[in-house]
Amino acid sequence: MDDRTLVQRVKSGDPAAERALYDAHVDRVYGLAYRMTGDETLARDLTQDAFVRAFDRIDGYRGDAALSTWLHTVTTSVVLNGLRKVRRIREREADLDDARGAADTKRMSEPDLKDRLHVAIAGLPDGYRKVFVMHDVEGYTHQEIGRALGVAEGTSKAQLSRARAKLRVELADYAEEWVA
Amino acid sequence: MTDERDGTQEEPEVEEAFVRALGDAARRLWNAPPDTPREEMWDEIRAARAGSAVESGTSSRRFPRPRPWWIGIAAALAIGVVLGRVSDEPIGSQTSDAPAVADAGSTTTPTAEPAAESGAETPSDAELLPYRFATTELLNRSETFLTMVRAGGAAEESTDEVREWARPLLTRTRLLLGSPAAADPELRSLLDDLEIVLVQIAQLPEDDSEERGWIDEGMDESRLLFRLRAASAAGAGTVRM
Repeated sequence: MDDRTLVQRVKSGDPAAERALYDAHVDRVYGLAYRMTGDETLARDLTQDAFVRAFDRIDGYRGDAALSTWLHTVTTSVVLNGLRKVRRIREREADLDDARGAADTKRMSEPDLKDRLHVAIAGLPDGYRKVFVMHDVEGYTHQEIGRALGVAEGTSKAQLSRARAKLRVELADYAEEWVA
Repeated sequence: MTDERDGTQEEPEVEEAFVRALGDAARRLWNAPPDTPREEMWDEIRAARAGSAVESGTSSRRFPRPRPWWIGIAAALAIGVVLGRVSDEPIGSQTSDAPAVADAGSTTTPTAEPAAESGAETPSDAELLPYRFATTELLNRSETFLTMVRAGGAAEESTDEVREWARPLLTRTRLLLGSPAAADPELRSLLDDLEIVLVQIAQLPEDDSEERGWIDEGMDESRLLFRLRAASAAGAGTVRM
């Protein structure tokens, strides 16, 4: 079924078409939501919210862009909005961690690649991290990222380049091994 | 990968190997998603669309209104207050983790590399002064613009015009997020929230009535207009939630 037919059927309220649209895109939306939040419940909430909003707004889709591009612009917008709340929680949690003191020293012991990656990616500036995760991890194009984040494609490319440069510094010992 | 670079990279094939290995490692090891809970989410979506928010057998909440993380925010805030951790740290006492933006053509706001990147010492008051002016100007303009959008005054304008008004404000917001001014955690939080709303406005669809409702909801949740007014009245260097 092509996009045009699928959208027409969704607009007419065909549940099978809605399910087909959902099946075609849910993994990608859920994947991004989970990568961004690292939390299963939040990722589910955001994904559900994103599809409810996409179905509600499908009448506004006029075929100017590919259906997948339009859908991911809508869903990424929902994920971003949700992340604002997640970020607040994490900032508060970080404050609480600080308040608890340095008793929890186990977290920093034996930093393997997973830990190092976590620290390095989490330490990226917000904009860098979004673009890195969307492009290098989840496979979004710069055009999709630009539309979703409301920035020019060139901005997306520049931020990705800077994100990689920072990660290369943070993971320098692994980088040497990887390119050997 | 064939993306544009900053010109500081190694040979292309070496860089490509690094990018490929980094992406592979991140996909495997960083927040790797579990299997998509397709059926459970679909049930919730159908229930929400039917307007009957039924309880799911695997979920303890109703959809879509409940936002479980609100509970976390409220609890964390309460504990934070009890612990007396309301921050009074001066500007520059923390490093920024905000993005830098390349598209600076439409603004006169002073530009800067992110504080986290520059590794600079805490900037002096004199060094921060231009950022404070720029921040105050941005907050004033944003407050005026968002008040107009909120009041429906912008409904008389075309969506194109509203989007056009939002974009330079968005650019300035992002520039400030990448500047030493954003080292103040409360100002950064305000700019973060402002950025989200401006992104939404900059992407308004032609048929935007529903989207505007969603934007209004976001502004209410974050008390954005109230905070903008408070920050504008107090001056950009003394933002309080």
